[in-house]
Amino acid sequence: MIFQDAAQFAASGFTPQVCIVGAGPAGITIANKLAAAGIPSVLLEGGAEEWTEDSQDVYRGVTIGDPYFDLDITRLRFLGGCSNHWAGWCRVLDAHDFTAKSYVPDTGWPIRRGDIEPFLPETFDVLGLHDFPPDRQTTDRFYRFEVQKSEAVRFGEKYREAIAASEHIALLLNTAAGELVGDGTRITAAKLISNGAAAGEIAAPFFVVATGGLENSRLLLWSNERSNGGVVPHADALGRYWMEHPMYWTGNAFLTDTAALTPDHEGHAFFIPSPQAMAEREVLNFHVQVETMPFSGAKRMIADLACHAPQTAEWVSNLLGAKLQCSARVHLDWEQAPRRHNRVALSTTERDAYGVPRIELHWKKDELDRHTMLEAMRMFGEDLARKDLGRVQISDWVLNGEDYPDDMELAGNHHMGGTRMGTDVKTSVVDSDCRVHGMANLFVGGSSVFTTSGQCTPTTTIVALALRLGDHLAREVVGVRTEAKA
Amino acid sequence: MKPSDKTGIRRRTLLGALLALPALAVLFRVIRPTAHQDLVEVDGWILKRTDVEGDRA
Ligand SMILES: Cc1cc2nc3c(=O)[nH]c(=O)nc-3n(C[C@H](O)[C@H](O)[C@H](O)COP(=O)(O)OP(=O)(O)OC[C@H]3O[C@@H](n4cnc5c(N)ncnc54)[C@H](O)[C@@H]3O)c2cc1C
Repeated sequence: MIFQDAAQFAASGFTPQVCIVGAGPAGITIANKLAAAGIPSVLLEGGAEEWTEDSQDVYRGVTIGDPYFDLDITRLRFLGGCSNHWAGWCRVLDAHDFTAKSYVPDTGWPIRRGDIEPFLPETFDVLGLHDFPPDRQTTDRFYRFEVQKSEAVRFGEKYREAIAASEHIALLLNTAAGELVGDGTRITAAKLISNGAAAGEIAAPFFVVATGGLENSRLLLWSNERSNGGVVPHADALGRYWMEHPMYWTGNAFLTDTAALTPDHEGHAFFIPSPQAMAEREVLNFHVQVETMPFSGAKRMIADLACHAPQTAEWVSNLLGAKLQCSARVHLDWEQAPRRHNRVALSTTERDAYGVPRIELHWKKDELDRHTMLEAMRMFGEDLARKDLGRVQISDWVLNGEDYPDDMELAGNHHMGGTRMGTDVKTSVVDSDCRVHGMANLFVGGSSVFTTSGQCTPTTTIVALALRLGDHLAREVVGVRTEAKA
Repeated sequence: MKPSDKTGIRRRTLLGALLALPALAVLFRVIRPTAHQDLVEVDGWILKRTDVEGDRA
């Protein structure tokens, strides 16, 4: 069922067991999972079916620290959320991403990859993926891995018809949760803003916040402030440990053995380090993306190489003569350390049209980012040279610790952390079931629960976690119903 | 790796790299040892020592 506003919904008499706030990949997946178990849920979507200026304006905010994307550009506020502009590159977090790194504080999830693996086949169905082939060892320390460049499922488009026909899902468009109301143990209601005006409250036995990796923190911070700590009773970590995947072009390479490094149809090849290699250099996870480049770029590189190693330059240029595709640019995406000071905060001066404080994002890369970036390039260069697969040149700005370039992509638009998963209430907000610590009926969906970010794109893991949460909630709802009957 | 080990390797490798490079290049290039005896980093290029020694067969 689809309703255009809160009044239409109220007239329907639909009684949800679960109220899900946010109809992006996480929220829609949770609603579908519950519907499959016959559990009715209401899905609140602040935006309409299409982009509107008014709705998007709610996402404006400021970033303090490093340059970042405008906060109303890096996300979309309408049905389907950011899946309306995501690129569809997919990969699941690796097993070692879930374990603690002794050399980086506050790492290690309370769950293991095995906990989401049962949900991967369903995740692949949702995202239209095939099974990932095993990573292939290319050098002592690097593995070639597959990034699936999928068709980029637009969740709103894909599921609209099924939701409209569903008797278990009530999608309530143009209706945002302005705040949740809680008493320190339970959420009692969500206050609604529908078509730009206050529209009363909605109650349900369970609530899930799935408004995206920035907005989850904002909604919970604001709700908690309004309820005097009654929504997130242990709020030390709320909004904190926010993470992105910084990404830059960090060097060039000659690939002298293109058989070992065959690029995909877009000219890319992806490599990740082994966990041992990361530990050896005390770096966080990263991936190297090698992208073949036109021959003209190669000539400049050969000239440069010739200054240092004339015979190697000759050897490379002979090989290049045979294979015109073997010069490459090197792109690096890396995992950021979860830092308390990187956080989503509420602005004390700016509010949106509905009176909710806008986001003030505090985000700064640090020494470990620099170290990871440089050592990643060194390790990759060393391994290619040792195996005679090619030679790598690290960009001057990386080598000399100069400012990050402002003419590159800078990060992945991956918003992670803020309501991270953990066992310690001082450093986390949700437990291993994605339930807010201390709250009986409040759960969080999306990458804000990521304890650490790993190196890969987040949405495949978001969908797997959403299916796991849907499955968990379905069992809890049935448990509560059975208790009530007894 | 303990700091003292690291320093030891660094000194040895740097010495090796310096000896391996043609004198002129040493004057103008930023040379850095790597974690491996057989590799050097010259102006950001990660090269085999044999690359800079010029004995590529
Ligand atoms: C340019 C770009 C490219 C990307 N490429 C990739 C990629 O290749 N691979 C990958 O894995 N990821 C990629 N991502 C990230 C991906 O889009 C997100 O990880 C994913 O969309 C997150 O899903 P979500 O459901 O948690 O949040 P969102 O997609 O943000 O959905 C949240 C939903 O909640 C709604 N909402 C917000 N506030 C409220 C409220 N108060 N009440 C009711 N509803 C509300 C929003 O309108 C939205 O529909 C990309 C992102 C961008 C911006």
